[in-house]
Parts: sequence; C-alpha cells; structure tokens
Amino acid sequence: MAKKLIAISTSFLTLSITIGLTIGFISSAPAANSAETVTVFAASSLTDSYTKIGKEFEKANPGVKVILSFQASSTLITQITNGAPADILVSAEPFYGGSNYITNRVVVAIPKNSNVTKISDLDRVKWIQCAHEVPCGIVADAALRDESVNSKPISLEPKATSVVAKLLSGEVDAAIVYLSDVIANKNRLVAIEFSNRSAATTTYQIAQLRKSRTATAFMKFVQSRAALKYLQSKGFEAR
Amino acid sequence: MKVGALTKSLAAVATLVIVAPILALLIKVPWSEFFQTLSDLTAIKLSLWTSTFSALIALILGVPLAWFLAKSSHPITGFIRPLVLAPIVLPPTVAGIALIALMGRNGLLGRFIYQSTGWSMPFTSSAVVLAGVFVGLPFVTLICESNFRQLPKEVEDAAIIDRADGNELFKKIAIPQSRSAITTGGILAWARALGEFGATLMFAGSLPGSTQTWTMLIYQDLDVDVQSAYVLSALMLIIAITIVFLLRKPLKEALR
Repeated sequence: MAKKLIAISTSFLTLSITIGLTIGFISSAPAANSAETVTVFAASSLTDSYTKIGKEFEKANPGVKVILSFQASSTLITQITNGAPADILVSAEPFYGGSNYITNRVVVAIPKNSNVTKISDLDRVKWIQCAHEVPCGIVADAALRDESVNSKPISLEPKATSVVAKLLSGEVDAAIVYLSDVIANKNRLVAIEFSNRSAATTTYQIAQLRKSRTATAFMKFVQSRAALKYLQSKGFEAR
Repeated sequence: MKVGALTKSLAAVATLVIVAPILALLIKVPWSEFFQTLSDLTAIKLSLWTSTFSALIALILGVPLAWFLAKSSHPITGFIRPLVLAPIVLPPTVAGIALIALMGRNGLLGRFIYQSTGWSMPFTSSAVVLAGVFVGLPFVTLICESNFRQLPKEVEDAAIIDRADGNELFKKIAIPQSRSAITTGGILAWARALGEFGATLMFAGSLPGSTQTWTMLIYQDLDVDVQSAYVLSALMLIIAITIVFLLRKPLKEALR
C-alpha cells in the first residue's frame, strides 16, 4: 500500500513539474529576448496611429518587436492591475502615475450622405456611443450635457473602435466618436463638433511601467516631434 | 486495483483544472454583501427572459429537425447534420459576424426588412433572442436526434400497422416517448443562450434594459466594480452547477 502511495505521489509530482515547466517555458519563450520587445497597451482609439508608429519604431530599431494591445483604457488598466505584462500604457484618460501626452475630442460622426446636419438631429436617428464607464463614453456624456438632445443611444459599446465599426457597417445613422476616428475614415465619415469643445476633450496620458532600454526608447520615440506631428495629422493634439 | 497510478494522477490533475478555478471564484465572492451588490436586476431579468424565449424557439424548431434527421434517409441529412451542429464549436465572434451578415441593416435579409419596414434587428432584444437560438438550437437537435434513434422499433412498427402517418408518429409516439431528452435539450439550449456573450455583443450591442445581458454586465463590471462582477459570476456558476447536477441522469441516457 505504502509503495503504491509513493508511486502515485511520485508520478503526480513528476507530472505537475512537467506541466509546470511546460507552461513556464511557453509563457517565458517570448520574454527570453525581452530586451528586444516592447509591449504597449494603448487606448483603442489609437489603434490606427499606434500600429503605424509601432511599425516606424521597428523600422528605426532593427530587431526590435513592438507588441500592441488595444482595448478600452479601463479594460487595459484592469488587465495591468491583474498582472498583464505591459511595458507602456497609453490611456485615453488620466491615470495614477501617468503624464499628459496628447488630447482628442469627441464629435458626432455621420456618413457622408447623411441628412444629419446638427447635433440635435440625433433625436431623429439611431445613434450609439461608448459605455458610460469608458473614457470615450465619459467625454461623450460630458459633451452632451450642453446640447439639447433628448434621445438616448441605442447601444453603449465597450470601446471606441466598436462604435466606429458599427457606424461604418451602416448599422446606425450616427455615433459619438473621437475626431481621430473620423479623420482615419475621412473618405466615408464627416464630423459635427460639439458646442462645448473643452467638455468634449479628453487628455491621454502615458507611462512607462517597466524598465527596459527598448521601452525607454519607445517612450522617447512616441513623444518625439515627428511622432506628435504625425498624431496631429490624425486628429490628436499635442499637450 | 483497476486504475493505474499514472491514470489516477492525470485524473486528479484533470479534476483540479476544472474545480480549482470554480472554487477560487466561490472563495473570492464577497458573500456578506451578496444581496446589496445584487441590487440592480435589470440585466439578470433581461437574460432570463431572452434565454427562455431562445430555448422555446430552439425547441419548437429543433425537435422537428431532430426527428427529420433521425428518420429521413435522404442524402441531404448528411449535409444538414454537421451544419446545424456547427454553432457548438463555432467561435461566438464568428457567430456574431454571421448574424450581422444576414440580419444587419445591410445584411442579406436585413436589408429588405429595413427598406420595407424601417425596422432592423441589431440593438434590439430580438437580436439577443436570435443569437441565443443560433447557439442553443444545436443542443436540442443533438440530444433529441440521438434519443429518437433509440426509440423502440416495435412501438413504431405497431403504430405504423395501426396506419399512423408520419405526423401522428411524431406527435403521438416520438414526443411523448422523448420527454426527458426534449427537456434536457431545452435546458441545455437555455443555459447556452444564458451564457452567450460574444455574438450578442457584436450583433445586439449593449444597452441596459434592452440588450445588456448578464454576461455583458459581468464584462463591464470587471473594470468598474469587481465585487459586482464576482457576485454576478457566482450566481451564474450556481445556475450552471445546478443544471449539470439535475441533468446528470437524462444527459447520460440521451447521449448513450
């Protein structure tokens, strides 16, 4: 009996170690050359511009790999709090430890052939915005406070990119999105500005979360004059 | 000793892989504040009624389909069967895109509905129900077809001798003889619809009261109110465990 018990516990141990090592190996494999990768968590509204900036950074630093993750800023912060391996966080709203980076403002976006001409026309059509909990929803709520819109959005989307996607697919007539989203789709979308522009504006903050040469270089790169100029051409403003 | 040591250890690991996260969730739930945290029932109510609707529709459509697949010898059954079971293994995001492609305002069918009535399905509770039917119906069909195939041949033959036609056979023999399988399929479809997330988010959006379901609220609360996410998850887990516990016998029978 004792022999069997030993056999069982030995094989169990061996197995656990094997599994543990396998998992450890798989998860640490990309980290083996961690000096050469930089993991960037960025607000979903930065999807287009940061994909481009990431490629430019890789071009300027051969051998370096930029790993990008785009989600609602609140989701990114939750993931980081739970241990997600981010080197850099760019959030669409201020966060503890972040420094001011760029600004963006929400607008009412409509397709080019739309009959919506002013904000109050939202009452006549189906429109959506971000959920009240995520940055693009918080600024949308703030911007709407100074408008006479009585209708409610027909969906509160979890992140900025899903709002844009649903507007572009034609499922809705209008949407409150960032100016940068309209500029990224300028051949299909038009923006109507809110009357209270400062309420409609959000400040993006950036922070380096882990020390590494590559991460420091990326921080410098995205805050360089060239990068800021590029971001400006995409509808963001430098702070 | 019939089971070898290695097998036993693997079985133990397998059990742990499932049980440990479930236990961890139950331990982390703020039980003392359970009911205060659970004050807003809008999303839960929405999920309960939409998934019930989904399950009913899945039964009304899925049981006849199962009967057809079990009894017809037409070669088309060989194509239909894998197709209607596909949602079981299909990623929810793919299901979401497929539903938009058909029923969206620019969808194959949705376009005509929108042009003639001005109504479109996305962002309505009907979209939540349809997503639930899409993912739940295969379970009804799977369980019922398997059961229909096991019906005693003698009973059917006797009915045929009594000049029962196909419809009577289905109504008077198949359904009464398969109550347990139909219930099992219905409950599984209901549970699957209740847990649906990805397809619903893409196809129906998320609005409190009309499309923000229980699972959607869990997803949102994880970022803003973790306690609430835990409480909502625990309740969902309790329902899931209750269902598999209640269904352990009929499931075993139906999938024999």
